[in-house]
Amino acid sequence: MNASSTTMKLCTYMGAVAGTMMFVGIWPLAQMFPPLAPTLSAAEVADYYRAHQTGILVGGILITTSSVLFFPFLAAVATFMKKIEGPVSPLTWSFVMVVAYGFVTLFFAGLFFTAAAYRPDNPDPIIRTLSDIAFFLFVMPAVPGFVQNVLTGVVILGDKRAQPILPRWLGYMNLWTGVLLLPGLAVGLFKVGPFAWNGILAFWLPAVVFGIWFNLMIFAMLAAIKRRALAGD
Amino acid sequence: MATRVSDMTSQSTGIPGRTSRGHIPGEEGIWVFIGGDLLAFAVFFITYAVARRQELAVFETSQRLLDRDLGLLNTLILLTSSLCVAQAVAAVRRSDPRARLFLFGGIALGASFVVVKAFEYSAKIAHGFTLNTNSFSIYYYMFTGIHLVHVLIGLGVLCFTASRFDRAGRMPGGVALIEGSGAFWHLIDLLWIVLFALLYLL
Amino acid sequence: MSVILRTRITLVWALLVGATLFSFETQTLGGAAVARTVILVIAFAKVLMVGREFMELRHAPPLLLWLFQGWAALTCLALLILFNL
Repeated sequence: MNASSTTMKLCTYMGAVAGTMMFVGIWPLAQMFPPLAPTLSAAEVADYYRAHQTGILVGGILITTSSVLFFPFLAAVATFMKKIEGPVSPLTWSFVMVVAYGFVTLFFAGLFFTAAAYRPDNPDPIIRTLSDIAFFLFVMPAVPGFVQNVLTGVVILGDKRAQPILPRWLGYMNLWTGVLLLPGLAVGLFKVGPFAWNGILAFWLPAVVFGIWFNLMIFAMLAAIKRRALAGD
Repeated sequence: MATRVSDMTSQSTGIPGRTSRGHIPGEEGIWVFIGGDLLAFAVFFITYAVARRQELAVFETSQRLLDRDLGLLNTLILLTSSLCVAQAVAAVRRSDPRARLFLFGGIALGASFVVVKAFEYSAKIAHGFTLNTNSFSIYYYMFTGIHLVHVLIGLGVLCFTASRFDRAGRMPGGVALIEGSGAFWHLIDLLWIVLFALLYLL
Repeated sequence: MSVILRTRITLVWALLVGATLFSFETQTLGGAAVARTVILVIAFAKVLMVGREFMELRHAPPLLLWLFQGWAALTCLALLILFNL
């Protein structure tokens, strides 16, 4: 039992490592946080990529790496969900499949940032198109995020044990996060305003909510591992 | 365990437990969701008010295009639906089998809110007032749309609660479930009250 | 007891409907600034009533009640400032 709780702890901490790496890659290195405005002209976008080429290329490495490192963390979440659901666990399997959509796109976002910065001599519209794809990959997968959070919330709240494996407030927290991630799905419709990909309601609110959710998940999972919630029945 | 005890007090006295520390409706966790949603919507409201100051003329002309009567109708529908749900909670507390009837009434009114909204949207779209017409239309469709998602989720929650009645019309699982789903439904009502004032009246 | 509770909720509902109709007809009330203020204050008075009565927060622990009422007061204040200054 001791070995497995060490593994669970490592997987959970891996989430913190991945989150930090993603943030460092996007913010100080690529300087894409906050995102470039969707209204910028092709020349302005292309010049931005030419001026920040090295930072974006190194940031791209960190973003793609972080996308992979999120999976041990998500596997730890799935392990908790499996334990709660028991032998018949359709929601856990759905979770395992859906998280791939939400976090593989992060890998491709890093890849398209790299492709956009890779050849500064490319024509401006090509650089801007690659950049657009990167931002869509980064912000638009709101529906997988929503479904993933709802699945987690429903499983946690469905726990019938007298001492639940994960606390019930965490279940409600997941539902709340899921709902607030949703505005991201509409970013394709807007170039200005709060629902554009750099807007307060499609970007900033989900970004802050995701940060809170992520830290509380790690906190609650470490607490559950500490009191050996996964041991026995 | 603590909630279970307070359930019993509320069932025996008929009103929420009058302990010195008060009674949390539903369970503690659901107030994480409600509080979080209230904070997010406060950000929505303030964003809207700031944007309206920046483009006052556009907002005022476009607001006049909205169907105030349908907005009023929907407000009254949601208020009455909330009343039904509150009556259902009170009826469950006194083991009154009419609780189920009240809850169904609340659900039916909630569903009619969705129908009215569908008519309102389609009339607006037919007049060429669509999502990207101007900055006001973005707020109008997105805010009412996000609220509508809440209504649909709330209807699902109420239907789930309605399925927990036993044959005699009592709630064997205790009052916490219907209190919690009721609190969520009243949250939806409360958010619409502010949206109605901001979008239709001001 | 339950009868008292029932009539109280119904009374609250009647007040809410009355307040809604009043603010609906407020547009021409003594100038735009007055009307805006009246509409916002009525909206948040309704919010407080829904929270205290329908959500039963008036029986809740004081911390929960005051967090809710604080939210309503601050949001109302922010909107009043943004709409009137």
